Amino acid sequence: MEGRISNAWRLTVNDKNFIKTALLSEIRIDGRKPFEYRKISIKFDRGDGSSEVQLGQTRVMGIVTAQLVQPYKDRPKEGTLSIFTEFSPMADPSFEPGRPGELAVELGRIIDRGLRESRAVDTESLCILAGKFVWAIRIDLHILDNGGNLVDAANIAALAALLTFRRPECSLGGEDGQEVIVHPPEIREPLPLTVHHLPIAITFGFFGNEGILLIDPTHNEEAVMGGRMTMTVNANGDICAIQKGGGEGVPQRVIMKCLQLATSKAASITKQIKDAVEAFTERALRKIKRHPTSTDVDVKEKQNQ
Amino acid sequence: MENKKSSSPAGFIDSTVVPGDVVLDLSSMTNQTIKIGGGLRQDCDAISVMKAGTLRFSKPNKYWVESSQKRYVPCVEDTVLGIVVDSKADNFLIDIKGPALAFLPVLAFEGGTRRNIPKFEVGTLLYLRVVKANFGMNPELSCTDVSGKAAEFGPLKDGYMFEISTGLSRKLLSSPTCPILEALGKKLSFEIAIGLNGRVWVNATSPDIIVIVANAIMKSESLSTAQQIIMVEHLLKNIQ
Amino acid sequence: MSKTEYVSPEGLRLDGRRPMEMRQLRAEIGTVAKANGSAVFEMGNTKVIAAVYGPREFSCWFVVDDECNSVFQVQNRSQQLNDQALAVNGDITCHPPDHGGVHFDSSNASFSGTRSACINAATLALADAGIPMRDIVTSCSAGYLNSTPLLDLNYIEDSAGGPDVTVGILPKLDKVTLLQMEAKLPVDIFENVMGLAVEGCKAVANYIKEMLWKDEDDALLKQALALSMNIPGSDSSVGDAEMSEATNDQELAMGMSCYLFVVLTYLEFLCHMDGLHNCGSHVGLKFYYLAKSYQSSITKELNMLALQMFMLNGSIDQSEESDVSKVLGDQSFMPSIISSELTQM
Repeated sequence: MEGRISNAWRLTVNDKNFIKTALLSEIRIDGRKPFEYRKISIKFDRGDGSSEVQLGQTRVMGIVTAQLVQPYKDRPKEGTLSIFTEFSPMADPSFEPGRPGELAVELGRIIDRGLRESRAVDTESLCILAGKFVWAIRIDLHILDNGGNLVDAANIAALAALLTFRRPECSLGGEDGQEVIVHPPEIREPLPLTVHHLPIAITFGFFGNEGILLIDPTHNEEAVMGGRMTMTVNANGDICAIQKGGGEGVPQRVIMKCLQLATSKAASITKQIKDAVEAFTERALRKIKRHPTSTDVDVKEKQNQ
Repeated sequence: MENKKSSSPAGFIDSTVVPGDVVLDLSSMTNQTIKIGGGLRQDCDAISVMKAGTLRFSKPNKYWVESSQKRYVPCVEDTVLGIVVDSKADNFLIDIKGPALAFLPVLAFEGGTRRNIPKFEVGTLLYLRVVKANFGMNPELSCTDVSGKAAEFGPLKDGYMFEISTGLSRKLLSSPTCPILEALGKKLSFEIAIGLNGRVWVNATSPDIIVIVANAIMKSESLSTAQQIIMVEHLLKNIQ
Repeated sequence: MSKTEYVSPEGLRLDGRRPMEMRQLRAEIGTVAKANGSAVFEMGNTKVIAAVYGPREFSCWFVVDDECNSVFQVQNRSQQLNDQALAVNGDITCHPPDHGGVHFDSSNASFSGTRSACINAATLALADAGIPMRDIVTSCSAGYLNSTPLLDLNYIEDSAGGPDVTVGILPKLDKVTLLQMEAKLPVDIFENVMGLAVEGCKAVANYIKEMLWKDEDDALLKQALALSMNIPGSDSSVGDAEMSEATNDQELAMGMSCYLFVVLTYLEFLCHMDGLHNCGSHVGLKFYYLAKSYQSSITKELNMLALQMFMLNGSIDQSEESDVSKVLGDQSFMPSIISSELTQM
């Protein structure tokens, strides 16, 4: 008996052709225009430092955690920021458990480049004691559902989680002033991270030689398109990273056009993220009252947010 | 499966049943033949439910559980939409969303002989009929109706195929015509093929009609009849 | 960014280049005797060897696109180098092979800022293997330091942490197939930097084309020589002999195992031996270099050894001398062409 080869998802010839022909008249199967982004919804169900982003059918969860570690020898005054991706077979049967696929690696690298190398997060403020203790920030990105354009969704999830993350306040004490005291959240208000700017990843898809260009491809479109390019830009108009890993070649002027589009989209997405974060923080502040006298109950309440 | 029975099938008909419910007690029935369909099983004298859904009864003696799911379990005489996965010497391998790939014998076409075997590219969409569906075997398909005529079966050209739940596809196929299709059909002209395996193919002269029809159907998944009509009207208003 | 001055007030870079000048290019085709296609590509002191094997049976976890029946696989030697592998991989997949089942298998070990060299080497190796390509793919990087766009960053400039744009183009079709950028850069400056990198790619393309033409000529020449002088063994057989002899050496054995991959070495100490290096088609010697340098063994010893081998080689093979001078001529010629081209733009 022949099984359904690993439950593979298949696209028919009809669909492939339809996606292309419909795009020639600027129609996409979900009713969007070529340069229209899907609806983004950002939720913070698990409290500080975690976010869940839904972009159409794509869902990504971002979780930020921090740990006190010894800094790297060559950068004794800087905290670290690392990104981990989890592509579980839950999101898509084509993801294999265990081994990170090429897509997982690429996604991690794009987000890493956008966030770290553009110095979006101030790592110097994460230093507690030079050469001894710095905060190591870890971003975990879990892909929950693959509806296409994972990179953009994961990037938004990472940013939203970073913006809501609070680390405990620390101070130096002890006899020689070399001892680190970590203050519990009920004693001192935890501190947010310093995020200088928000690098937003915008993914474009290229189709064939007709020069069709679209933004935010869905799963089906990703299966048909000949090339993709992710541009990470911020609302100030700076380019933080670009990734176009081969595939269909595009003329230079198209790249410049993409840049313009990306910049305008980045502005609106930045606003959406900021609004969502603000709404959450306000709500959170109303709910949590961290009195010096407060007990564990309050902490739990905070976690349940 | 045939059984003797006598009493009436309790108040389960047209109500929701869950796995484990015993809907019929055969010990209290004699001199009657019943036929049981998908979602029901016989444990000695008890007919119990295996799937959550609605118990249906059709005169004179058929019982089955109707449920809506993304998975498709092949059933004889279902019409389905299949995707060609591979072609072998004797069979085409077809994905019909079932647990196993289905076989379409290369001769199962109208007037099919060894000399005129059709050629299908991988990924071709076909409208098919399930001929055999036995447990532990690959289902077998055919491109002809019972009398061996091509009827409407065969490859579907162009258009767009999308997936819905099996329940919705059954609703779309039911008579009288489903309100969504009726409402859409009044304003737009399009061609549609619905497979009981939860696949729908739509074709029209212009891509925007296809997109509207496809989205209307996909969105109606969880709507009531009244809501469906409102949604379609709303959609159609937007495009004019 | 550190405060180091990457461009002097006179407009010269750390290694004495002008901002729009490229490092010296050097390439050699067919260096790995066992591979179906291979090439060495050097950009200054960055050196990459690419080897193509195939077609091979591919493992089942690859999704086969039904439009292009083949899968190119790029293997890299270490997990941290994913960036490079992705660059190379992405680049390679844009060659649509007309016949199915081609399998490209290569790997790279690299330091940072070497994507371009990897891609260029891969292109040459693929061309050498005779794999059908729509166009050659060439790559070059450009950066922006001290408010100056710089072409073809070297290691020090690359690790400065400034903006860095790597571009891969299809020169005939004039399309960008690979584009990677990191660190912050405003849009208008990006356009300049990318344009610069594209010009660099075009210069590399010219060089690669020249190499391929020369390779064809050389092949004919060697054939003629082998016939007329009745010397047993064309170039490849010499290479084979050298290699089998060298396998005795422990270190080289390790080198042999990694010649399956794209081996890249960052050899500062080899720069003054460029002349030696350029003597051309001596496979065995080349591998000795790599194996040695990979282990980062003592420079002096290596120098002496290389010199000896060169002398030996030189005394046997008169015909190579002309090649050497030809290569050298080319080399000095190239940078000037590039810089003149770039200043015109």
